[in-house]
Amino acid sequence: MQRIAIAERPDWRASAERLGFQFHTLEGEPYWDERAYYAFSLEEIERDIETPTGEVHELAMDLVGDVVQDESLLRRLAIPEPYWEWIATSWREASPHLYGRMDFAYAGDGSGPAKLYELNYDTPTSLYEAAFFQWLWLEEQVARGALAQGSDQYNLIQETLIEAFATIAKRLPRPLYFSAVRESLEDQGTIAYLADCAEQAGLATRKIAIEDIGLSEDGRYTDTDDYVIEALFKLYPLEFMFAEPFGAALPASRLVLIEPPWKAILSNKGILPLLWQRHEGHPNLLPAFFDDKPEEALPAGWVRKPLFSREGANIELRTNDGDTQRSDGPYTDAPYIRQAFHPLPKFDGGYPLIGSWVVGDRACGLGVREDASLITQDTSRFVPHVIR
Amino acid sequence: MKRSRQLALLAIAQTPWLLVGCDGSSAPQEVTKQGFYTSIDACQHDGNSAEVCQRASNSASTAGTNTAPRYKSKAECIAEYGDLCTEREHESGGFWMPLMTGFMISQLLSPGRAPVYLDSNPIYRNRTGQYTEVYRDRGGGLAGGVGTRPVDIAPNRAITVSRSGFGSSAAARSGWGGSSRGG
Repeated sequence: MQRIAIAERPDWRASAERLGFQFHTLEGEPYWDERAYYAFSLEEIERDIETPTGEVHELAMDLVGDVVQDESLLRRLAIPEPYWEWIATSWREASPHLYGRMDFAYAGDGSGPAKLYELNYDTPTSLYEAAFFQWLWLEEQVARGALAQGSDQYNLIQETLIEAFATIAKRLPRPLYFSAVRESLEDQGTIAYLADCAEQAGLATRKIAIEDIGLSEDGRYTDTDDYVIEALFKLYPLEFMFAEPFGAALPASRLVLIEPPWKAILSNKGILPLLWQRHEGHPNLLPAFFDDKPEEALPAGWVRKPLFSREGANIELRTNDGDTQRSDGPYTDAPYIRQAFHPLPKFDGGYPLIGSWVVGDRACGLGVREDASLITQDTSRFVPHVIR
Repeated sequence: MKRSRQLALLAIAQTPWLLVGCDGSSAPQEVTKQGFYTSIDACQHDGNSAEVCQRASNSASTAGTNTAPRYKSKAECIAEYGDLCTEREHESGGFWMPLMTGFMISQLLSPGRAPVYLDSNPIYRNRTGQYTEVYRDRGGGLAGGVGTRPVDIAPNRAITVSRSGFGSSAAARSGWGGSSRGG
């Protein structure tokens, strides 16, 4: 794995805006960054990323079945009791799921296996840029001669998404609504892209802001014209929905939700200690435990994460030398876990984190995000990759 | 090769877009979009033009006179479709058939072009409230190869009594980061 500088395509911003990538720059800061790329060998991709992703995915899926029928574990994961039965039913009935992203710390050949930081299995983002714009970058750079003919990329993400939509289409009422927070350019861009993939799979789609969803007298969710929403893809955390006024209506609404209710278990950082408990010593897992004393000082060599944190918020990290780094955020209302400190590798541009995608149940591609600090946050930049 | 040979964007690009990659050898594919509507209004509501919706409704209705399930007696039709039955005159004697309660449009989406209308089929509602469509087995011809199958959609309107019951966590946590989700 290497970081290699390369000239930007002169017209990439215009392409981005023409092709639905309005969030290439966020709040004045670059998000898409093609001044460099990460180069992997095929072996690094297949042996170190793709295979472990498939393996960890299976371990995680195996866990769901145990957790849904164990009240003490559901409580441990801080999942509210009124949703337990609904979550368990969705698992028993195999409610279809679409996708997830695993984040790995990985430095390349010789430095040891990729280590799982966390699963983002409910509302993973950086999807469009990984699945589409990164692919376009490679094709155009090869066509321009800036990358060698025969350069490849680990990226079957979009094609696998369309297949996955086509597979679950049979079980979905139509149309499938796509929903996210109205004011988020990035989230709106991501659901527009997902809806595009669904349409390519033959599904009829509509969009609605999450704030605009209504509730009918008989407990069903509605769109702004009072049509019943029977199938909803939401880029909005399940645990937010649980805590909000309309959440109580979820179990009885008969809504087909994507991601499905059982993803509440896999998007929860409590999955990390549970995985470690069952598979202690697995080469791709880091030691992790529930942290019942978050008020105590964190010992050197450990990272403290809230069960529900997103985008690297509210993470506290103590390096092996005892240096402390902390990220701010709003997720102060849930229990915590501790995970063994395992630093991201350092390259010229900062610290890259590997986002490895699972669509349906297939490991199918990756995206790299770089941050200037050891904690990857929403300030990170997406950097494309190549297999050579 | 560990990447896709070709990718398309239909709706989010300014115009439908398709690129066959450097190593791509297959022909660009086209995509069919289906939509089930119980009225011309509902069809337009879903972003289709008035013209396409009217045409789809008419052609489904015409198709229905040829392909709808036929019953010798009113009682047989009612047993299946309840009140939604109608009588038709025919040279070889009259028959009973269900009334169309909606239509399914198929449109072809392809790069660089507006959606192309393909066809439209009638949808019926049986007495249990299930929407059904007529299908024809390939090669089965009209005789024997025809059946009905359920359309996986329920009645699609209800009275909304409140809104904005979702979204407050994002608002409460805003001012930090650009969005509500992520990871």
